[in-house]
Amino acid sequence: MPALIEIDGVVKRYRDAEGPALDGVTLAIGERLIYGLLGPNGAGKTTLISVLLGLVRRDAGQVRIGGHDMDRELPAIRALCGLAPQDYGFYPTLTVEENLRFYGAAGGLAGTALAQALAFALDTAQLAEHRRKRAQALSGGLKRRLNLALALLHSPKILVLDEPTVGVDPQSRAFILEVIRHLRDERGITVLYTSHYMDEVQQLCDRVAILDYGRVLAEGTLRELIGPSGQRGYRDLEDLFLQLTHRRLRD
Amino acid sequence: MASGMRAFRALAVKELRLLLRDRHGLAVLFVMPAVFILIMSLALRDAMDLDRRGTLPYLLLDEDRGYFALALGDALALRPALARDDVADEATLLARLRAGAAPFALRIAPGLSQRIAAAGQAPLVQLYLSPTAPGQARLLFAAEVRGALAAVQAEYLLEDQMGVPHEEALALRAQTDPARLNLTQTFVGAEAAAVAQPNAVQQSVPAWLVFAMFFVVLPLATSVLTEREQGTVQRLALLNLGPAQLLAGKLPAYYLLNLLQFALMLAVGAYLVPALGGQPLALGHSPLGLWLIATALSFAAISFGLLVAVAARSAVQATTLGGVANLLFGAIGGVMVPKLVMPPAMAAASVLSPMSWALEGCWDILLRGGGVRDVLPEAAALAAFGLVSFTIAARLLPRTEA
Repeated sequence: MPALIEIDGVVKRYRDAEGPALDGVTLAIGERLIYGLLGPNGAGKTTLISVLLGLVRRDAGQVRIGGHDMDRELPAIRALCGLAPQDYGFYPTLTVEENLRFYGAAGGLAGTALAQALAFALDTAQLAEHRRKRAQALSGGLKRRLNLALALLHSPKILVLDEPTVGVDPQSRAFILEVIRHLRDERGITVLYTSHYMDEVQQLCDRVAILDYGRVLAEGTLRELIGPSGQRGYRDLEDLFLQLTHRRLRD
Repeated sequence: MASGMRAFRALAVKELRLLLRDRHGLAVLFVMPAVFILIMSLALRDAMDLDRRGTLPYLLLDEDRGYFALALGDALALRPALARDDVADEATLLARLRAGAAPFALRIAPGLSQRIAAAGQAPLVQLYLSPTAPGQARLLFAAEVRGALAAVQAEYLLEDQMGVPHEEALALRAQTDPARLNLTQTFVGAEAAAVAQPNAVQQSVPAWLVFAMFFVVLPLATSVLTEREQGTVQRLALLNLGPAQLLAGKLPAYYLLNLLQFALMLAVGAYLVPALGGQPLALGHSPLGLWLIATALSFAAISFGLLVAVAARSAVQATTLGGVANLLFGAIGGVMVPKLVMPPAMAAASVLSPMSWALEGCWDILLRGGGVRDVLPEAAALAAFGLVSFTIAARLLPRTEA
């Protein structure tokens, strides 16, 4: 059975950049997985996500998602995906409900379908009691939850979460991770997840790819990467990450 | 189709909500032109209406104090455009002129009667001019003094040379004084129909209104660039909304804003300016013509604002680029300097500015008494400008997002 997301030799170069942002990335991501994308700043994680969603044009390579070819069926691919971008992808001066209603209606939902989508998103992110608050007045944790709720509006098969727990308190982080697990287990959603928090990735992700300088340095389950009880010589995921990407500071 | 309309409506409602909650942006768009219109209408009131008494203040030093000097003073007093202020000596005259008390002064030296008799051999009076006095005002002042002198010379010729009795000479002088000539003025508008006399408000309101409507570039740039910076544009792209659809969604909210600006600024000219001592704005006879030119102007201004917002890489760049472009359009287009006082080459260049087209369209209705047919050329030019700007912006949008 083919993977849900097939990435084959993808290359992306930005103008005026020294090296390629993506340098022949090849990955196969199955269904009902929480897939972690790890890498230092500038490793190419966000570029890879942008390429997968057709937000950035790749220079070479092939991408197929849900059996759809990216070059010919981009709208179908986008219809499968929900995105919670690293920056809050909502309007600060609109209320929680206004943001949800707008994105729902702009995506073609109306009437009962819109009401159901709204109820599901508010319920999943537990935002019902904050629905009349302006987004700019929400705490950091609530903003991340609204970001997640917006990504869920159109019942995506693939949820792309770009550092979804940055700047939130431990309670909100635990809640968001729980929601992500629930979405995989109960709704069969595949989650593409980027984060800098190694412990978070270690406890959440089914498979992990470590990227640096636009290349995949390692890919597999945690067991495959560090072995049981660190048999491969790595104490944990963070140790593996630092050894692969080296300890020098990045931009 | 229904889904596309739904998306368009959602985008338009969202944009209207965002706009209504941007109080600072709204304040700039309404307060700035209202203040400009008030200041310019009141400041230019006298310069635009030369029938008003006391438009050109001048100092008068009468060192002759004879009959003809007094007669010259009386003749000058008939000129409504002049406001006289007597001074006692030449030193005071020069000091007050230098201090900017008046742009002009007139000195009548002793022996005016002899010099009138020997006209052509010696200057009758001496004019003093401030270097800051505008050229057209200088010409006007000199012409008014010449007119008054001609009246006095006519009286001398009639009485002293031809022996006409004093009372008859006075009556004849009055008949021939240019200031008393029964000269009617008719301002010709569309289809040679007589229209109201143009005044400072008729000139200022459309000019600053057009200028202000183009300033939608500021909130538009903020809207587009905020979407880019906050990641909302990525989410919108995932909804399979095309660039033209995304940009078109911004049109209704800003169109409503522009129409409100248009109506409020006309109301400022019609009601607030006269309440503060200025002249009222006459609104012409074609509300439909006003709506048509306002609509075309709004489409041009919004589309140009979208183009600037999409082309810019930051909010600072957009506001700088948009602000400078608007100032240039305004300077070339006759907003800041009326086209009438521009040299011919500059006046011809004004055709390059869409603000000039909009201004002409407004004047077609407000000054020339025209209707819908009269504003069609300007409305078509503005619509074409808007369409080209919108198309380029829609083509640029995906490139700038990538």
